[in-house]
Amino acid sequence: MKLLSFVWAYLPPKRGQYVTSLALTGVEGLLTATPPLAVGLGLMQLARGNADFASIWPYAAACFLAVLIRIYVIGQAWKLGYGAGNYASEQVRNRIVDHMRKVPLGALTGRWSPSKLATLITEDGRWINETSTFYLVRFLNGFVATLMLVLFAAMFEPLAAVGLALAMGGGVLLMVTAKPFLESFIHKRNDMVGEATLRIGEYADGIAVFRSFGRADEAQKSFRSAVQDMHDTTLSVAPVIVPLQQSGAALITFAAPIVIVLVAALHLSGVYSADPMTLIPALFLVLAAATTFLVGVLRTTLPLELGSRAETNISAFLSSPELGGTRTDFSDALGIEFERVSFRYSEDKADAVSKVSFTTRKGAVTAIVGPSGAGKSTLISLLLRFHDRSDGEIRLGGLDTLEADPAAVQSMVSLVSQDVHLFRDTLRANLLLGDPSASDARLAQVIDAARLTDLVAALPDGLDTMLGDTGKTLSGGERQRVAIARALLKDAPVIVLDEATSAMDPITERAIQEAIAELEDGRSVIVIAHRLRTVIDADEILVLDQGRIAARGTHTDLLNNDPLYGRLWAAQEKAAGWRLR
Amino acid sequence: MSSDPKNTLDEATQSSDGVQLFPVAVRLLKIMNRYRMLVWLSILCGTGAAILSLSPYLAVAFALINLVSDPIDWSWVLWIGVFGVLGVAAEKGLFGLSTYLSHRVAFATQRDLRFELADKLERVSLGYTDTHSKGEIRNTMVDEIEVLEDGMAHLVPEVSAAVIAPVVTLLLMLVIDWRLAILMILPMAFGMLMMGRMMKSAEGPTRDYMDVQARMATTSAEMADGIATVRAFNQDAQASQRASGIFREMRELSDNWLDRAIIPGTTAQVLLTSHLMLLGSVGLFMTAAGWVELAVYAAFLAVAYGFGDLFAAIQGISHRLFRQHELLERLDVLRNAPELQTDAKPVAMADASITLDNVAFSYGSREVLSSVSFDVPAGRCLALVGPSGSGKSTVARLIGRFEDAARGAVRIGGQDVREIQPDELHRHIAYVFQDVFLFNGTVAENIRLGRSNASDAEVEAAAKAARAHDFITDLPQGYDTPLGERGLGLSGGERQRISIARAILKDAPILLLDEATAFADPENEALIQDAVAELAQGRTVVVIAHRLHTIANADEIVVLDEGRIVERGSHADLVAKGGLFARMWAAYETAQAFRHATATAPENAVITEAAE
Repeated sequence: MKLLSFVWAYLPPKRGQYVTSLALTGVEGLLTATPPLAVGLGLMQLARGNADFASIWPYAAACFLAVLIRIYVIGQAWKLGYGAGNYASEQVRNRIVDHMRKVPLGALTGRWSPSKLATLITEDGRWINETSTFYLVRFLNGFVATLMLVLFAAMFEPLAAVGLALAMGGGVLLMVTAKPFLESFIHKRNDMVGEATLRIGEYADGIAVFRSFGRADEAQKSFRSAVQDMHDTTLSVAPVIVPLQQSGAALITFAAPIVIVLVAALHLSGVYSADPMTLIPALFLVLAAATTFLVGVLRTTLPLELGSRAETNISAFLSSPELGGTRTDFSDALGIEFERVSFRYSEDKADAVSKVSFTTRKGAVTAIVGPSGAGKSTLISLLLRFHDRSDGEIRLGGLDTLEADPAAVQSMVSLVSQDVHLFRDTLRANLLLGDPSASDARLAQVIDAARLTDLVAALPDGLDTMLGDTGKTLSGGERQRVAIARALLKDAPVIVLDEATSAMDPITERAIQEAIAELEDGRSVIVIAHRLRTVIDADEILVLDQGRIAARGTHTDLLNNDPLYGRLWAAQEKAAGWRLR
Repeated sequence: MSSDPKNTLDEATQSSDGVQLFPVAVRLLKIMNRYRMLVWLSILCGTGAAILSLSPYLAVAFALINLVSDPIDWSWVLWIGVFGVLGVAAEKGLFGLSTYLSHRVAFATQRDLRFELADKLERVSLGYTDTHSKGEIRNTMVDEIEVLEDGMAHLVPEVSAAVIAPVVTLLLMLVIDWRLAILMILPMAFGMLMMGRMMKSAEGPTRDYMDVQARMATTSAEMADGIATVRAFNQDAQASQRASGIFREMRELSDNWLDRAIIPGTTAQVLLTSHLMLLGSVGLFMTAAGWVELAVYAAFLAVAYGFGDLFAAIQGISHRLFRQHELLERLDVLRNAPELQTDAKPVAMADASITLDNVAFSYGSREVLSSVSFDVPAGRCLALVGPSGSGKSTVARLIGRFEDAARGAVRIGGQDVREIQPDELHRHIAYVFQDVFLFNGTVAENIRLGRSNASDAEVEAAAKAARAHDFITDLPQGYDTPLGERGLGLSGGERQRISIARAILKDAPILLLDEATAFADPENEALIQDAVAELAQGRTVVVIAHRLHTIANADEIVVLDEGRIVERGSHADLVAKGGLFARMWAAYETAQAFRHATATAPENAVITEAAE
């Protein structure tokens, strides 16, 4: 049981408690089976004509007391088990958060998006909690109780056990054999439905555009046919899927009538005669066993399956590789060296970056330019270890980044990009992320340098204004400047700039430029430039094309020698002189 | 209802939200009203199945009656068994039929709802479909309607099974022996009582639990969203401490609640499933004393099992009905969205001129435009500039009637846009915005959105004019390459040129451009500019641009600030005036001269200026 061993790993100090709880659950299963057994035996006594108090009272008492004892036992079992389960799910959640701190950031943008992770922590964490305790306890209880009832029934009348075994075994067998068939069928249906869903979603997304081109009616026609397709597909497969899903559980209800038919038929044919007296408790136990099996075992398998799905999700995340490296002894020169670095996002894809080599010096400006999709951002993500390179070597301050402590790499480099995350907190707290210990004077200095003074003055509560979706929303330009202020506070010696691509009004653009100039002052800079004009003074410009460095040099060198750079420059100059009309 | 303390917290949550389960069921039935015959048939089959589900219990009951009588009629016992088997088989058949019918209804209703919403989307304002609710609309039409299936297809047969079977059983038992029936019910009633008390005492903890759960969801999402940022500043320890604080709070709260709820919770849990507690003990004595006949008692015991796990079934159903309630609410938001008012008289637009007459517009209580007036004569070019949030895009949206003005009027060719038939209006206006929608279809089909009957040659000519022909022919299947979600990914600049080709094909006399030429890489930008220049020829143009040199030749530049027109005039006039536009122009020119540099390049003018 994978789920159990997963939970087990997070239980250490509570393992004894958990095992005791499971053991008590077994006892409770036995107690659940007691009343039907006692009543059956009592009935047998009565049928034999022993109607006196002395022969009846043990059964009556057992039936009554079993319930009382069960209340006590289940209470103990829940208390211990839920306590342990609460503990384990807390540990699991902490482990997930811990792992989030250690995986390459690239992993958190692809398969493990923020919303996925939030679901992992809250929803899957909750399923782990509920299945590891409630449903597992219930399953165990149902299993033990069913087993006891079947055994008791067999003791009184072997044919009862035969009937139960036929119904239960047949049901389970049916479920197991139907499962792959059912899954492939559902899979096929989901493919068809997925196709239709895509077309339905597209209508919802594009309706404004369709309408503005006066094509809403045609779009709706295609939408309607997609909806109709989906309707027809789902309807045509329902008569197959629904019975398959229910067949397993359906068989168990046949148990009691089957036993009756078996007993009577064998008696009439003279092959075997059951004792009518022991048959009374046996029939009664068959009913109890069938009900217990259905409610306690079959109905808990679905939640348990959901629980193990949650376990699979969490385990998949936890088994994704963590960033390694512990060294922090960067040399003072703090140059960056890329040596024949290659990277591909997955094995079956082409290199996003191929055999790239370059070196930057402390205090220099290195610009990376090139057409969109050339691999500019990928280079940066490799330096910052958002992804680990596939080949080659990257050194920061003489240290291989794979051997360096990821946190130390982070503290050496500030990334300023268009993508700025603000927390639901005050502006002050958002700024202080750069350096929680910064003094008010330092903070004021940085706000000034990042050209945020006017913004702070305009906010209702100044620095203590809440930001985020419940508070004040900042414009793109303002967010950029918050990011620059953070970077100023962080004071890392290397600055990596990914120039904004979206249009901004000139006054905002100018304010950001001023803030960037303050940030660049006295640091080493790597800049991904979209406008070639901003980097003509760079110490070195790398022209990237299709993942490779096509040319390198100063602006003048490149303009004279590199056709690609020349083409980009000419296009830019042409664009700069363009007038509408 | 549930006796499990954890689930109780969840459920108390739901009942404290004031959700009545019965009205939800009624609303579901109302939605399915068109297919009520099938619904009733499904309920009928479900009821039949529920009654037949008593077969195994009745079979055992009759068998027991026979076994305690003397002599035993074995051939009768065989018949009882055979009837039992047939009864169960019939039950499964009827239940299957009921489920099939309810699925039919569910699928058909889902289809109808989607059709209804699609119609609705053609009647709401374009702004409604295009802004805040875009993802929501998709979500409602695709996913939420999908989940309604559970309510419509499963709840009907299952509710009939869960409610009818126990009721019939109880009636049957009362008929057999009312004293025994009471003995059976007593522990269960006591269990219900305990449960009620527990639910009541759960109200306080429930609020706390909900609160912690909501905070855990928020904190987790925020932690995940911001992990890159906190790690960049090595502040992840602090963030994860905040998260683990909430996890701890959750555990403590659960543990505390467990302490309080364990006794009533376990008692209720056991009692609700212990119909034999008194029936088995007291009943035995009663039978021994001769107050009840042995055969009757035996039969009664067997039937009592048919009472089943009523509570488990009801619990699961109430959980699911609650979910349905939420979905129905969200569905109604879209179904009740305000529709665009249209006086659908065919009116003639005199020309392609645009007039805004004292126009005001608000989003909620926030006025984003106030008394904006201007005229753009046919064939002229008006540029809108201003800081972000000044209302430029809103003006463009009002012209295209994505929204209706709150006050004043927008006129095209002298006609109020509210009096022009929407299709007619859209035929006169082409849009090129930054955000481009491509649908699943080939490149050619996407371009042909501009004019459905355009020939291949016309499509190609449009693509050539839009400077898109070259990259299209480089695609694996040229004009027949599929695009969209499952198709090929194009760069922003390429998408933009496809949208320009559409607009060229559409050949509308009015053109709205919103930041259409601002593209990152220089080559794309230059190509798009050429394409736009071609498109703009001979049309009335309203252009929004941050890159001020591109609009230097506009016939008029209107400068907006905080929703008002603060300046207007030609480029030269405005620069000479020394107002907001002049300041923007100065900032723009300085920005063009910006150079990245560190202190090692002190000769750079920008550094000196910035370090003042």
